[in-house]
Amino acid sequence: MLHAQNLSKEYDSNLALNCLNLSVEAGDIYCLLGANGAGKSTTINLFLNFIKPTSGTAIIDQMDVSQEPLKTKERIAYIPENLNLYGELTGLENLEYFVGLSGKKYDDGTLAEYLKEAGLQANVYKQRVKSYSKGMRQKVGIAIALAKKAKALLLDEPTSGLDPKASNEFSELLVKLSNQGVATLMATHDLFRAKETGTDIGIMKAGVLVEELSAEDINHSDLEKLYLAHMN
Amino acid sequence: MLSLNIVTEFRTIFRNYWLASITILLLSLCLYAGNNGYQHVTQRQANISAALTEMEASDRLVAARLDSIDKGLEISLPSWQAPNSPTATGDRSPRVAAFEAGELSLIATGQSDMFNHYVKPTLTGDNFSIAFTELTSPVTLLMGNFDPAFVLVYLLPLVIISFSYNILSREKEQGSLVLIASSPMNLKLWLLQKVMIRFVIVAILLSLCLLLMLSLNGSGLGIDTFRFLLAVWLYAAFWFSLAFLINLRGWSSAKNAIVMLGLWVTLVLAIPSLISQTANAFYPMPSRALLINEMRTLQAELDKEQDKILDNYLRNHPELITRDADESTAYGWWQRYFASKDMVIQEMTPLLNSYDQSLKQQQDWVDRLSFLSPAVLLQNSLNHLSQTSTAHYSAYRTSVLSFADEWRDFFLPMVFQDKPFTKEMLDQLPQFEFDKSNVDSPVLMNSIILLGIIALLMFISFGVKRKSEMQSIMYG
Repeated sequence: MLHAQNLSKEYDSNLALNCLNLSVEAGDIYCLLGANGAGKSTTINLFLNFIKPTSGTAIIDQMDVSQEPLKTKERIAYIPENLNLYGELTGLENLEYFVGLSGKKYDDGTLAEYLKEAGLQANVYKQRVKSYSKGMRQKVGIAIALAKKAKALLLDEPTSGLDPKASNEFSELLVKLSNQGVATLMATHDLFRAKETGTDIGIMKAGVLVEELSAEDINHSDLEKLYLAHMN
Repeated sequence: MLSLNIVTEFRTIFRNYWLASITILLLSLCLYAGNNGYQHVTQRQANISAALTEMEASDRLVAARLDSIDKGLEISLPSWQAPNSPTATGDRSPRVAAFEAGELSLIATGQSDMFNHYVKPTLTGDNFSIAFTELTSPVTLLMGNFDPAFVLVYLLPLVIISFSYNILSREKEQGSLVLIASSPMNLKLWLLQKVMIRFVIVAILLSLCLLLMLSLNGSGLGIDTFRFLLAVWLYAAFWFSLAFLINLRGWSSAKNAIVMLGLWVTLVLAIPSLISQTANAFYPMPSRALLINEMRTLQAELDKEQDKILDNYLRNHPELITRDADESTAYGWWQRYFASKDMVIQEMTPLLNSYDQSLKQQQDWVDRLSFLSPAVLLQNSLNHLSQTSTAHYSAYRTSVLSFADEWRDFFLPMVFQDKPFTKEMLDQLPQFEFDKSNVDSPVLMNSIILLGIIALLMFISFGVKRKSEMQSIMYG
């Protein structure tokens, strides 16, 4: 579903991403680990077509993101580190708007179902989002992904700043989506969550994917050692 | 997407009190400025009414005195004030040449605070050219009264800037832009829709406020009202187009605000001032004081050629010219006076023409460069619609000068032929009519120029592709 082929990005002669190759298939949760500036967010931004690659190709559902930006965006949902919705609108209205931007229209009942499926409590649907916690806003983000019927999820440190319970709930939702065949590419610093949630793990350093492994093949402790070894 | 954006935009600006704030602001500004304009127009009309009332009272008195003279009765007036003297009536019973306010005169004070709106051309009065030599370009009049034109030309752009400078940057800074940009839609179109929705909101609110202002102040609603609103809509559309272009640069809200305010200073203050200054530099107007001085000098020189002592004395003391005096001396003096007056006019014509020429060149210069500033274009349109434009006052001056000639031509034959002014002639007195039909309207041309500028801004926004545009918007 998501493929990076020799993907590189250079900013003013600084190589932010160097010849990245990776694949995330339907049902996979691919976790990208790495220090700040390792190239994780750059990778996500290239898939979102927010930036143009210096060379190489980002492919979503067999389409080049640069060539087909709108069609590829129809197939993805994006949740950033801080999902900031419109504070003056309710959760339901935000969902209606952002799903509507994708050309999909649902009645309030269906939208409420998506919010429920994303784990948001029914009594806050019609509360203004400015009163929501970060965890609640991230759930609205998941609801947007559900309602968009996205085939791929791009997540940029989505659990950063969430309390353990909220973080766990978020992971459960990702697994749920994964079971529905959604391909997920998640940039994160959370080694524990990557091991618990991910199916594949990649470690990046200075724009290079230095390690790629299956989450099943490594335990928490070894993952941490491996990560630190690469960072030193 | 449009209906979705409309609903969301309304929900947002209604809930964050923007809609209420901008409504109150626009309403307050329009009503206050409208009231100021109304007071100005009311005062102008009151002055004209008072002058007309005074003229009618004077006419009744003249008619009564002429009636008495016809009946052979004595009137208690010296001969030089007797109404059967054409010189006395030509001087003491002038018509009021009034420039009445138009339906929309309250919207722009324009040149109207610099001149009286009526003059009384007399038989021996000065040439009226002098009274109008202060006509200046509308650009120099941009600063001034807190009238609706001031609100629209100066303050409306600030309201629009505050309403539009951060449409995109705010989304970026609060973090919602990434979610929007990850949606399968054209970000420029999305932004354009947001800008257009806000433009429509401002246009509707402003139109309602202006219509309320006009109706409260007794102005009728006609085709000129529509032209007025159209000019204002286009001006607002220009500023929103500019905001659209600036938003697309992807700068921060602070930078957008500074750039927009810089453009406001440039387009509303600096360029009009520059146009005015260059007009004065390239086509300097002769000093008004110099003109008056030259006129007096010339008059004095010509005076010397007359019978110096007696003539000057009689001119300063016309009450001494009585029917008991030698008639040939008395009327001979007036004849020589009018002859010398004609010579003054002939001698002064080149100087006055140079004044007119400089004024016309200045105005042409302003007209040619007005496309550089939408503020000048709107001010010109508003001045025209309110009939306070330079062109209106020039036309008024021409009408008054023409009427003054007509007035003199009516009385002079009587003066030279020693004929008395009779009661029957009262009804034949020339009447002033101000014909504005030959004043060209710049409103359509200004509107077309503004439309062209808006189209140019849209072309730059959509037509000029920048490298890594999305990157610039998201991270620029």
